[in-house]
Amino acid sequence: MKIKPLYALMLPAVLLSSCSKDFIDRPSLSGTTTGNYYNNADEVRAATSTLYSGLPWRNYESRAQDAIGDVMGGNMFTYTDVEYLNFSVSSASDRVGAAWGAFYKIIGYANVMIKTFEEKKAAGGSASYLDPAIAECHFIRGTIYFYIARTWGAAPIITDPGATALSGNFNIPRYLQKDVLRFALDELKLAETGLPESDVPGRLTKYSAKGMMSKLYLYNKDYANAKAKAEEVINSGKYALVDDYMGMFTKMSLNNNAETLFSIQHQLAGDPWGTGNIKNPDRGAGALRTAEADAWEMYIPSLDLLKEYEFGDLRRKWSVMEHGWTNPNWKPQRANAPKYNAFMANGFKYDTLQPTEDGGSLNATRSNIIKYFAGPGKSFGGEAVLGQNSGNNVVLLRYADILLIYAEATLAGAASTSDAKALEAVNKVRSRAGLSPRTSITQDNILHERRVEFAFEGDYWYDIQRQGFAKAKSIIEKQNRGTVTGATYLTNFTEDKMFLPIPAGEIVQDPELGKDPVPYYN
Amino acid sequence: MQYYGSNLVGNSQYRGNTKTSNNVFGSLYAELQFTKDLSLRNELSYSLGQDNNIAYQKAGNVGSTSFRSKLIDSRSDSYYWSLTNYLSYTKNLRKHGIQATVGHQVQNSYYQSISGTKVDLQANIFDLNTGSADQTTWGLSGGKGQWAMESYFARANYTYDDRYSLSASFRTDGSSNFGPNNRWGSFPGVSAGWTISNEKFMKGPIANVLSYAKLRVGYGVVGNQNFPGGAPNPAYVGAVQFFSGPVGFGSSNMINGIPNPNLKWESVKTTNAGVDLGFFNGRIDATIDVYKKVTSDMIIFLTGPNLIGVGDQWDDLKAPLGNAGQMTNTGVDIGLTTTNIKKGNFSWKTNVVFTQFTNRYDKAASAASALDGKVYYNNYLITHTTPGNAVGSFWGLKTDGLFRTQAELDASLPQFGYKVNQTETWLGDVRFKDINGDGKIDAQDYTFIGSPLPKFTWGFTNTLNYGDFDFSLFLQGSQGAKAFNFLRWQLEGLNNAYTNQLQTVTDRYTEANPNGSLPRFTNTNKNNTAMSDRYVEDASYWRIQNITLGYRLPKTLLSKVKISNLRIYGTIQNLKTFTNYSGYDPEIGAFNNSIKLMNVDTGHYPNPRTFTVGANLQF
Repeated sequence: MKIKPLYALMLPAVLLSSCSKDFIDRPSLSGTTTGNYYNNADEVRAATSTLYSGLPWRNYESRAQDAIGDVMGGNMFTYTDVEYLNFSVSSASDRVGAAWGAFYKIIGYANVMIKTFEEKKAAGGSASYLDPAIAECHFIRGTIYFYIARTWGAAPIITDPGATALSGNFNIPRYLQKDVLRFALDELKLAETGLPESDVPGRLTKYSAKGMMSKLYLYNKDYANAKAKAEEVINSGKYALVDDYMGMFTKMSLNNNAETLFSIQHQLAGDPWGTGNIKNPDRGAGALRTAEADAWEMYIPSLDLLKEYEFGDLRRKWSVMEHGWTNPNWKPQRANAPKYNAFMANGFKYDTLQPTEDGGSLNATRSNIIKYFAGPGKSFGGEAVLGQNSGNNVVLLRYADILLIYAEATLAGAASTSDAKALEAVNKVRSRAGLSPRTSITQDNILHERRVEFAFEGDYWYDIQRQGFAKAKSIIEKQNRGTVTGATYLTNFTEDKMFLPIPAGEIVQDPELGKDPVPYYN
Repeated sequence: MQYYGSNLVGNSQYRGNTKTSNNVFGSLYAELQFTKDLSLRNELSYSLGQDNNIAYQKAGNVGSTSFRSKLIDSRSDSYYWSLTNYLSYTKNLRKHGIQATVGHQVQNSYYQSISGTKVDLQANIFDLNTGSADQTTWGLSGGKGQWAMESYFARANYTYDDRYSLSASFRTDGSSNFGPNNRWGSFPGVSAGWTISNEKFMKGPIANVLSYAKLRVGYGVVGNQNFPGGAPNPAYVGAVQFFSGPVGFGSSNMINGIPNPNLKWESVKTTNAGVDLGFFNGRIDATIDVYKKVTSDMIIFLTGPNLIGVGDQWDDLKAPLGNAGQMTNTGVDIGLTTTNIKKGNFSWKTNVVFTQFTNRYDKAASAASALDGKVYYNNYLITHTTPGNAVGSFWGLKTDGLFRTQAELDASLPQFGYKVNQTETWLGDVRFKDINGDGKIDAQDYTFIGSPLPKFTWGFTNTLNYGDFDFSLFLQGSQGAKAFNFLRWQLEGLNNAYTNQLQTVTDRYTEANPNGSLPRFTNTNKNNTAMSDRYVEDASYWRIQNITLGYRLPKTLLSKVKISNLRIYGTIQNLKTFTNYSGYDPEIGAFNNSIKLMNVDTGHYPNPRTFTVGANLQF
């Protein structure tokens, strides 16, 4: 028998072979699985926290929200999303695909959490922390389906992505818009039941659900319920209008303020992508671009919106920069730009006469958006900005909305109302803006108030759309969608523009989407 | 909108990337010879890897644009070892030869990584400690993973009289990639060979012409356990994922994906037959193989339309991995080596290889699903494979030229619901074909617009030796594959006045240039940027892949300095490519290694051209 060296190796080999039963059993290294995690409130709430974050919301809130809510609504002008300015949106359009993908992604997140937490509950997990988390998911799911129903009308409803994906059956139909809305409402009702009376700032409560329900009821023209739910929010005494209107959108210190019912939570960070608010550069005036803060003013105020502000409405200077607007704290500086630096040395002034390369501003509507623009960066006297990221939350539902919903639900389609509580609600919003109180209100009064109050918050298109085609057409065709060098009025707004097309790729993969919608409820 | 033209060349001077890799690998073995015929071999192999990647942005100014300095320092290391035991038996009895091996192998792999980011480096020094102390500007992330496999295998070989050979093998592999239900896979194989030229009837005069001939047939199954990029591993339990930075209210987590406890091995069954032929005592050698490979239970992400809410991107709820579908590759490989001239100290050899195969996706996971590839944040579907087509088939609208006259516009069909006017469908827009004949152009007219697979590929090598000089020239080509040039979707998009475009857009349709080859500029509709064969190009090419010239120094000279052999050589790799493809490089490969996105050009590093001068030295 000839033995080569290194026979000592034999021993471990034999040993290893004999204990190999567990050798290839390698669960993930961090060891956290849905099976062994989510056993206390912190672990569960850290999961639902992701639903509030920019991670799943990013592709909607950044640009799609602008293009659909404000460009189509006639509040913003843009050279980039011109299709939305002209209502020539097609199934191949970018923002349509982005919004669709983001909405269904958020629903996917919420779906898998509901399923997981229900399983944890069935396995003995405590309802005390699982139920509120499940209710948070229902709120998110209901809210998103509400967005989907308003954006596309009839649409698919998915509740178990895992089972759908594993089944391989992707022939999912569109359901009637009224059924999508009913599904959304049922979800919000579940949220209303399961959410707590109060929670830490920013977390959803019963009143967030009631508020969103009032908005959905109003969309359905169910005025009695809309009024009742709005009233519950008002009577709770938990909410108030914030004096610093401009600060609500531009100061991190005012994130989750007393006016907020629901907002997308952002962190001042660029990693992971979307955790920061990336609306900043799309809105910021190019004159304020610095090494710290990107700014390329992709969206600017429309001329029509500027015309909408009443004389003396403070919201104009809180929402829009125009010639003469100043912020003495902002002192941006640039390399190799002595004239620019001299112009900015004593603080920023929006100046349409100064040459643009030296700090002036001269765009197509001679104005820029302030909402969600945090300024030139911390070193230059602004809020902290990391390139494209700011840390401002994006507000999706706030108390001013509830007040105006209440007033509109009280009006309930009548020509006008002088109901004292309705007037009080509207006048609260007006008085913050420095405007005189109204003594009676009409539907147009409220639409006007909503337009300026929520300008650049992605809501106005839905306000126009819920007026029905005839009124929507007259509103749209009266809007000047052009520039200072040439007004543009649309003359061909047609009924098929009331809802957006479903992305083409989705129809290729799911041909049922190209067919007529079917009922979801029998 | 304020446009500030970036000076890309200037910017690039301030950015960079350095990667340092260290690898150590080797193996140790021991062999026990029990008897003359029976031995046990025991082998330990290992490999250790260390990578450090430094990506940086230096502070500085290009014009009035200032850069904030930034350093991303990433390190990772990996450890692998395997331990193999073979028991081998060899016996030769007169004309019978028997070889048998049984064995066992375990493999273990572990990796870990960490990456730190800081901004505002002092004096542009690439050291994380020079970065800003403001923690909100920091980035820190890490990861680790492991994998293990255990295998049992047996193999037997029988030969008779150098004429007949028969072999059979069987292996069973267990992988940590799969859940307890389906951890193990078994893979058999058999093959047989007949060396005809060793038969008696082949001796004699015929041997001067056909000096070697062998027939081979085989059937075998191999397993594949690899997951597509980005897949959670293991995939049979629902892992909880944590983020590298603050999310939502701060520290958040996410359910990483939908688990699939029933995921199992993918298998590839190959049936092949081949013949090896040698003529004129080795002056001409030919090899011909035909094969059929059936890949079943393909491991892929079960993604469908986005509306399902699962996907394969980093921030998606990961779709479950599944064993979806089956595909078949049928092909032929031909190799021919000839010695054209051999005279004195001069020789010239030629080698030609030719490969042709067809691919067919036989069946999908269900009747209502397909393999779909998407790009641009998952927004655009560009491949759609239904059974019967080649995997990775490009899918989109078929173009039919441009609308160049009012008469053509008048006869147009509504495209995406557009009317005929300047902001919707107008002169200079692409006209699409109405594939389903319903009188309008929409998503239901998307159709097959090309296959990413070549009709055939070839290689052609010439080697010349003259005295101490050697020269070789290697040409290589691929014919008939299509590429989806997604870069042109952006760079010839003609839909945004504020992004850079290719020079080709100067020949776009305008009133002054009604015969322009590209569509008009328009930012008000998607007529010209809808996914279509406008972006599908012929990616056929041939290239001078390698030229080498070498010179061996005379032995008489070398023996004086005790060198046995010294050859100096120069090599040019990838000298020139001949193609009509408009992108950088027609050899594109698969985006993210996904079979759903083969030959999709979203911008990729072209193959480098390398010049090498070297020496081979032996003592």
